Amino acid sequence: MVDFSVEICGIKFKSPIIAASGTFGFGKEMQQFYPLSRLGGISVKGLTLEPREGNNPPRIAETNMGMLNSVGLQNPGIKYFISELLPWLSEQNTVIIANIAGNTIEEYCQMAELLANTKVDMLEMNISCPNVKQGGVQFGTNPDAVYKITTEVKKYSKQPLMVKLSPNTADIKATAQAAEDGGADAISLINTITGMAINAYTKKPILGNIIGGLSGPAIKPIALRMVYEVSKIVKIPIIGMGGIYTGEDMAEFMIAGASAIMVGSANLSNPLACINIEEQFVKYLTDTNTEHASELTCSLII
Amino acid sequence: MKECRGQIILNKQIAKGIFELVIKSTDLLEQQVMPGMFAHLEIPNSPDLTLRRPISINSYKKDTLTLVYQVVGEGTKRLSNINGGVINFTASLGKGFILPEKPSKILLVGAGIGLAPLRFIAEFAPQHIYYTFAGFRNAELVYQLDIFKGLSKELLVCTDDGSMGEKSYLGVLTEKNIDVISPDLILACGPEIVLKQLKDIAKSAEIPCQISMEARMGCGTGACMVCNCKIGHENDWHYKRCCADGPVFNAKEVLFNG
Repeated sequence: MVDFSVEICGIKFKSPIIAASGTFGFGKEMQQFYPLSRLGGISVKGLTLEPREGNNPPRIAETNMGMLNSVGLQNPGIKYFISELLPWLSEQNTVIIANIAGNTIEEYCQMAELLANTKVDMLEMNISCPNVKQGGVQFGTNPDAVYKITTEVKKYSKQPLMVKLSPNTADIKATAQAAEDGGADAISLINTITGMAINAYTKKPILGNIIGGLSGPAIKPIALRMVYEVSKIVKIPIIGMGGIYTGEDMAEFMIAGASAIMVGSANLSNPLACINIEEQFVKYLTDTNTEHASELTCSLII
Repeated sequence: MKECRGQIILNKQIAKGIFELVIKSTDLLEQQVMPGMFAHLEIPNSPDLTLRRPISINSYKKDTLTLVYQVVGEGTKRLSNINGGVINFTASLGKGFILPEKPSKILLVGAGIGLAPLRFIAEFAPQHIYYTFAGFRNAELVYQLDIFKGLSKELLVCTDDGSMGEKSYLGVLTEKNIDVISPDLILACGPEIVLKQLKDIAKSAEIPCQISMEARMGCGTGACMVCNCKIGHENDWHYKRCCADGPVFNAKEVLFNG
């Protein structure tokens, strides 16, 4: 029997597979397909201080081996999450990660404070959403801004604080270092890469927002490279993501330096994605005589 | 809803670019499949296509699902070239039409590929009297009229160019005949321009109307918040999920863009 539990920031994940924010809602829909307790954790849909309607349709475009989305953080607001959604979610026997996105540093701090005495296990600070006009990625591309917001939010957060990094930056190593220096307990990466799709015949963009975030297998090599580069310079744990569709993809992210991984787009391609990936990953561990999943982390042979 | 694995037992062209797909799957047994719901199909042998294709349910019995789809892009084009084999899909998804309990006079209005889901309504609830208005761009795109003829007390057909039935549009046809038929309920599916006209006609005739909407979808289950429809009233609306809160909505509550 292989052991594929991992411990990150003192939190025990029974599996290194976490559902990525924005692809899994608040768990209600997906639990119709399998018990959420099968997952290591769930990062919930990005929360904002006030409810948000999100962007105009269409919000998704299929691209070769990938997809673009421009949802724009549609969510019912953090207060509704805490009072109406979290009570059920926290009983599903899986780690709950609250993904938070603000317009200002103060909003991030307020949200961390509101979540401090809840059953949320971990915070994921989303400073990398490409689909909102204010906030989001503007905090995530500049190392000084990453450092500042991390130190500020850290003052209010009681749970471990994970910073979700944007790939849309000149140097991912610099923003990762800034997050660690600012006191982040973990790093998750990558968020989507900005992109667009055009209909050649109508000459119109496919997305209502014109520009969106690219995800799926198309971005996997970029994500792997970034996880690898960041793992060489930070000491805090990394949760890797970006186009993970198979158990082998998952192993590759861990080998590159991730302690756990998130599954995002694959949940849209197949509602059983996390379960299929888990089964393939367990088979991989068995086939490679790997006793503990954690042995894989940073095991790249050069 | 359930993740299903099925066998394609038929996939044949029934009009220009329009195909009837029949899938058999034991995963469909014991499912609550209601008219207006849809199936989310993985295009076989196409890992490069990352999204599934939502297709409305044309007919359903026990372990057999019939879907009618139009070839509009790469995914449906590939699907149309498949003659058999295994297909993965999620079914059945979404909130369907809400049908009255007591026998009623129901007007079905289907435009183009939007006619497809209306068949299952009449098969599912045969206690009602159905009138069907079917509209197409031209005669080459007409399908299943014999089936609708058998299910309806009256069937009116129009085409944009007059190549079959009356040369008219569904909005015009409905407006012209609504008082004579005087239905208790209107159920419709088609392009937004037609649905918007029906919403207005139903409102002035004071007849309840439900419409099935279409949107580019992601997960199809309600988790990803991609397929948004504007629901509510002019100054008080919210984006609802077409896949999980719809695809069928009360016409009164749907706000059309532009």
